[in-house]
Amino acid sequence: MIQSLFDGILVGAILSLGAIGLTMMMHILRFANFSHAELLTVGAYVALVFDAVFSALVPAFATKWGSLSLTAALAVATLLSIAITGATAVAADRLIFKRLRENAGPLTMVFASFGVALVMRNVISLLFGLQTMHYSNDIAFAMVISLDPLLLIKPDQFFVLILALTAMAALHLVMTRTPLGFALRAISENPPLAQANGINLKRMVTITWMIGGGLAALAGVFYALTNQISPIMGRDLVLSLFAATIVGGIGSVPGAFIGGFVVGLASSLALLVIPSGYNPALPFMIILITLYFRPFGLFGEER
Amino acid sequence: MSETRLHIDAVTAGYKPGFPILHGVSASVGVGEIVTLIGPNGAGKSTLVKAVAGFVHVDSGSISLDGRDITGISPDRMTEHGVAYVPQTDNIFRTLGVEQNLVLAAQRVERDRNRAIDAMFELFPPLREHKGLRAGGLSGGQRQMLAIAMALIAGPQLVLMDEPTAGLSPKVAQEVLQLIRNIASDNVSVLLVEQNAKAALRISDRAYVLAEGRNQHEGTGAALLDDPVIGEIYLGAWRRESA
Repeated sequence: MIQSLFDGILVGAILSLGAIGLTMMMHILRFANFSHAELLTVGAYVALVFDAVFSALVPAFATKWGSLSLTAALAVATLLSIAITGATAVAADRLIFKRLRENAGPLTMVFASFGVALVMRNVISLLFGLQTMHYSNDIAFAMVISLDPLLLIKPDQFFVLILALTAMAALHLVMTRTPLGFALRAISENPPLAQANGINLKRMVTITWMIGGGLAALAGVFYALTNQISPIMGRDLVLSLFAATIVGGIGSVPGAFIGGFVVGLASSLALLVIPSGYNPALPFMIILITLYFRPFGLFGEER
Repeated sequence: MSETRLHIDAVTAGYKPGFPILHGVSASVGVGEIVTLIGPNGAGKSTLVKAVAGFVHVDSGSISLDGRDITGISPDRMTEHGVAYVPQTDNIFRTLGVEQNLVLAAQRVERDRNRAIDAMFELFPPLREHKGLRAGGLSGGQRQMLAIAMALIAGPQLVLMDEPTAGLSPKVAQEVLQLIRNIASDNVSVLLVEQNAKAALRISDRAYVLAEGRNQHEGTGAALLDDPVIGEIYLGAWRRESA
């Protein structure tokens, strides 16, 4: 039970990171972007490439930090991945979504996002193959936190949890304390009024894609650190990300944070009572239950 | 009339290019002058204000401010040109705090933004009292105060207001109109669309009557109030109400 709780919290933190970007995009651009989860995959693979490059160029960078799988090479690669995945998200917008936004309806954009997801997933499969990969092939030993009840935590898991929470706390501070955060919230609430107050809509949309892509990259690297890297990791996470977004309420960053943990914990705790084969259906159940009782999510507002 | 600040010259405009709502409308607002647009529903009053604010596509004609052409400039750049716009509804950010709304609006102030925010708190003391509150929790009158404070914070030369008293009680509406009078006394020009035409004409220096997207009449506020023809055709509703 305690072990499941911890596992759920860890998955929840990763889902929250991915869901925050998704909810911001859905609120500002008014469409469900099914390609968002693929940005997690892009982020994980970009970090994989630069990790290998830096490790080869500077052997000292390949030294592990204590009992973590993390190296200086992977840390720098992750920072680069955040920037590159953010830029990938902006490029997807400029090439596909922006044109559709100007000439077509939201439903067209939803279908286009399925297409973008397929393209991203298959390009990654072509480049890297279908096999799973890891940042480190060494065996990561878990620390025994408690024997009764049994609680095993890998150092990587603990590190990922702390870092995910720190990243979300930093974003929360930006959104609630800085003019940039006010502007992002203003754009999502009332774009014309934001413009009347001198806010450049296009610039804010670009920044939102950058933030969404960057957080997705971080979530992708964290997922890969604690699980594995594969071209279908985004596809496997997409429903959980949408469930987290809908539970929290579309447009609500704190909602996506809470929603991620609700979905992560529910998925993990459900394994105690239902066969694991039913687990993929759980996000659907969470979406249905949320929509039935709170159509606008826990923190969403009627619009 | 005082020196011209806003000059609207034969503007044809609409929400979609080629589908005009305004057909060659002309108007002007002098420095420190309040000019009200009146007319029946669908006359194009709000469309004209939105055209000046940059939200509506101008097919032909020109709009200039202090002699500079501002036709077709995007809404977010209008503030750089000294134009502030207070929309009819949803004119504050409900999910932001009162002070956060002002901080956001103050981003277009070149220097000493804190001083600009303090100046608005001086002008509207109730906003200081509620500065930590979510703006959605303000009363109707306080919301209008906040919306007007956001418009004034960067020291605009022209303020565009679309029905600022809509939904307010008569007493609060009167206070808002008096506030607009005070704004103009600081040499700020005001172009106003107002449902309550009678009250608006009382504080206005001049007014334009629009109908079906065209100029119909113009005159001083007092002259239009006393004009029996205008009163019967365009202001009948309020004349009967006030009788």
